[in-house]
Amino acid sequence: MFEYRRTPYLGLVYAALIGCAVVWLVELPDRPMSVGQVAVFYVLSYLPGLGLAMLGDPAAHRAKAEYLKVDYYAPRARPDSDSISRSPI
Amino acid sequence: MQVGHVALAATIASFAPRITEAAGVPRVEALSVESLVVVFLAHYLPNFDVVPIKLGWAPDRFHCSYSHTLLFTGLVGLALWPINASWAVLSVVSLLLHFVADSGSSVGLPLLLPFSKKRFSLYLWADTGHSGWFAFKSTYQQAWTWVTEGGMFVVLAARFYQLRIWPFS
Repeated sequence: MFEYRRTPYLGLVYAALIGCAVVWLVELPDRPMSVGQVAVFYVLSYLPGLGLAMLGDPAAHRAKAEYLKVDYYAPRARPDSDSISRSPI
Repeated sequence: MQVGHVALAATIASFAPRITEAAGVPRVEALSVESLVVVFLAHYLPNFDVVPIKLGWAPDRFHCSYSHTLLFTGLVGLALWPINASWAVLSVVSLLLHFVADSGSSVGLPLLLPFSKKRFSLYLWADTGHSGWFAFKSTYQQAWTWVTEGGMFVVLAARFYQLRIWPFS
């Protein structure tokens, strides 16, 4: 999933940045968040943070490029189709 | 988008009062049972096209076809309007945001079917099928799915804070 060992750790850094930004944006002056509530934002921010870190990881780009080559909706051969029934046993 | 649809649907339900008031229809409370049921059903409705595929009644290509169109959205809204106008409005918003959430997928959305076969996509991630473990796993090997879907959970948490819902009560 990752080519660089730093990717998941870089996600932690991005999560901190995203978490701080979100807390700064949504926190109300009369309702300051507790440490635990800020931690909830930090933990959740790891999800998009990891994604941002993966943008710089070749493994994620390689996976996307490989999957783009395949048409996963192409008609599949069925046992009763001509191509199967006519094939030599 | 896969798991992120859950966060997006819950976020839409959290905005139910604003959506219904803006549309001038009877108000629906935020994250009430009514809003959650209507929004989740409507939001997931386009992906129910997997059912006829699984039953063998439709080819795989049926996924992300007619159920992901503006025509389908309009028909759902028109069908619900005589029953409950608030449900119709919430359903239309949920369906439209489902399409926005899916717009990053490479499969593309044929929004203008049957008038045009053009598929709209931002190509942020490669689509790897309509269901199954492989489709799930391969989706999360790609960066933008984490960014968009994870971002939706952060937005949902922000809504929980604004609405004073646990753990922000």
